[in-house]
Amino acid sequence: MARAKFLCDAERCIECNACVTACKNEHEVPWGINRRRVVTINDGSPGERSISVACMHCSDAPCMAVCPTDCFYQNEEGVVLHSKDLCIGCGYCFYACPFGAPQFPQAGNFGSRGKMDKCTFCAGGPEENHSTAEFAKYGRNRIAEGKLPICAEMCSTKALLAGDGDVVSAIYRERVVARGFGSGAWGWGSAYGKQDG
Amino acid sequence: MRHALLLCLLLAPAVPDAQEFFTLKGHGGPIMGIGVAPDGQIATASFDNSVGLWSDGTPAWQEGHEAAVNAVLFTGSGLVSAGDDYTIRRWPGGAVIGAHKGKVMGLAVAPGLIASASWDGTIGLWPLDGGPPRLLEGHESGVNAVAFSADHATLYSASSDGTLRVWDVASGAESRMLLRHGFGINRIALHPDAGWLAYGAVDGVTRVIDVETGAPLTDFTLERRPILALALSPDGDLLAVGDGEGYIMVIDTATWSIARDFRATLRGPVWALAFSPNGQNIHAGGLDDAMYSWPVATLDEHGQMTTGERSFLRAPEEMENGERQFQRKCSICHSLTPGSARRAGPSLHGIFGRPAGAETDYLYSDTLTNADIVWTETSINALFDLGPDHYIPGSKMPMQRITDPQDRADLIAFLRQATAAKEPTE
Repeated sequence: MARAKFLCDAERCIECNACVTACKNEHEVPWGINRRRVVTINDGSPGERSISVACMHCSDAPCMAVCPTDCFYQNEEGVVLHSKDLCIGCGYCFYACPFGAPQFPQAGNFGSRGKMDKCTFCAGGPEENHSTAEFAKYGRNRIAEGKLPICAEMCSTKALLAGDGDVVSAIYRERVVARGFGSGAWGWGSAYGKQDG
Repeated sequence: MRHALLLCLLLAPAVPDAQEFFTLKGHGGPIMGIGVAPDGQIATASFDNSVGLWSDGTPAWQEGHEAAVNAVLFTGSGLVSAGDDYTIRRWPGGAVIGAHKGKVMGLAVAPGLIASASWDGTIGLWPLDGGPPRLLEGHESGVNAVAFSADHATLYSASSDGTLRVWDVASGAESRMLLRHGFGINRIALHPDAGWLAYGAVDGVTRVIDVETGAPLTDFTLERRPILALALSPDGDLLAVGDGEGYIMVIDTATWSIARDFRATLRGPVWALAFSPNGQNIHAGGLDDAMYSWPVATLDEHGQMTTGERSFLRAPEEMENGERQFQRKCSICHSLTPGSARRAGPSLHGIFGRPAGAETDYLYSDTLTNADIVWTETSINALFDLGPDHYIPGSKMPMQRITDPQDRADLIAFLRQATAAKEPTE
């Protein structure tokens, strides 16, 4: 994979929340934490749109810039990951993330929060691939299994796309040409910059 | 006596000369908030759990917060600060005048009244005379910032729910939603007389709107995000914007043009901004332990925030495993040399054989003050095997398990050598 990216096509999302459920199930995400959520705007009104939102694994990730313990890193596919051993739960990354991705269990002694948890693009973490420690802290490492993120795999309308950024954007471009309009890839420019979009 | 001294400090003019570049050094962690008194005295809020009240470059430390301090402001009769321990405290003394159920990110002051913005989703109104507090509910997510109108009858709030809301202070009712931006709004700056409000958002938007209609007046959004700090000069002529990429942009509000733009940090964000009373200096805080103050007129002619060689940023391959465990996981909060160095945790110098809660220059939680623990290889091993939240529940220490027995053994071996060493290693 070249550069891993998410894309949510708001024209296709039907707010079924399968991506949310699949993510929680695959990674055994604890109660109170949602690595992915579906946001609906103009609910019940003309122009209603839904989008599936999680960490977008930004090109120039602001969470990395503000972390006081430098716990983030970006793998060679551009996936933004973090070490829960280094995270102190300060919440500064939440303050910086345009997508509200960082989640915090209400368990920490340090201020209010426990270790930050977020979408890993199903790429695990710094522990050894497929180890018990990796699964316990970060969830399943599907990328190391040669698979793609479970949320996109489970999406019945293929609103949520995940994978090589070039492939994902080519699929979306094809859709836009076919339907004649394309105001649906919410967050793409914010995450990856206009030149990449 | 200590309080009397502090009152003297609060009353004494302590203005570093404006139009000079200077730094205030002494904190043991990043500067998260800056307050400036009408006479120019500076107060700093830090990740190191302290508030610094500065006179002639010398700090008087205000200790009491049990976690990072995010905001500090002068009230006219003293200081108020708020932080990650959910509390709002008044100085001198550190008395808790209010408490939320989440971290407190912003403060505003009106005569006799403090407003607080909390990540528990509420706005607190705390009378300084000890009257009954009020919690204003309506935001759908954490509240990041609050500001009073010039007549103090109206309160504006910004939230990570992406909205700006207006509240009637007398009734505590939400008057209206001024704006729905979508992305979370981190900071606001309200011009008291001109009828505009600037806001900075997590997606990098810096926009100025009409406070009555919410209509956009001008936009200074650049390709930088998130916006983490906003400051308005006392005369309202200059608006400073700090972002996650370390820039400070100064906007001339008379012409709505960018007067200065400066990469203030070599690495990391600008967390806090404040103007000197005459508007000629801009004070800033970031990942560095020092507060920096630049003359606005010559902003780019002085040094940037250096951030130095932070111990926790050293390349892992340069160190043996035990030292690596310490530097990456412990050193942001603990020093190895005598004295806490104003870190968020106590010094580890001489840790072996020392009873818990025994360092005299560190303000421990009750848990550790009253703990019947002596730090030995066994107890340190248990601390990280179980995690502080289980071994010493209620302490200030973050959740921090080291699950690999070899990593714990290597860390303990390193601490054995480094905490007893004659020559400090950092």
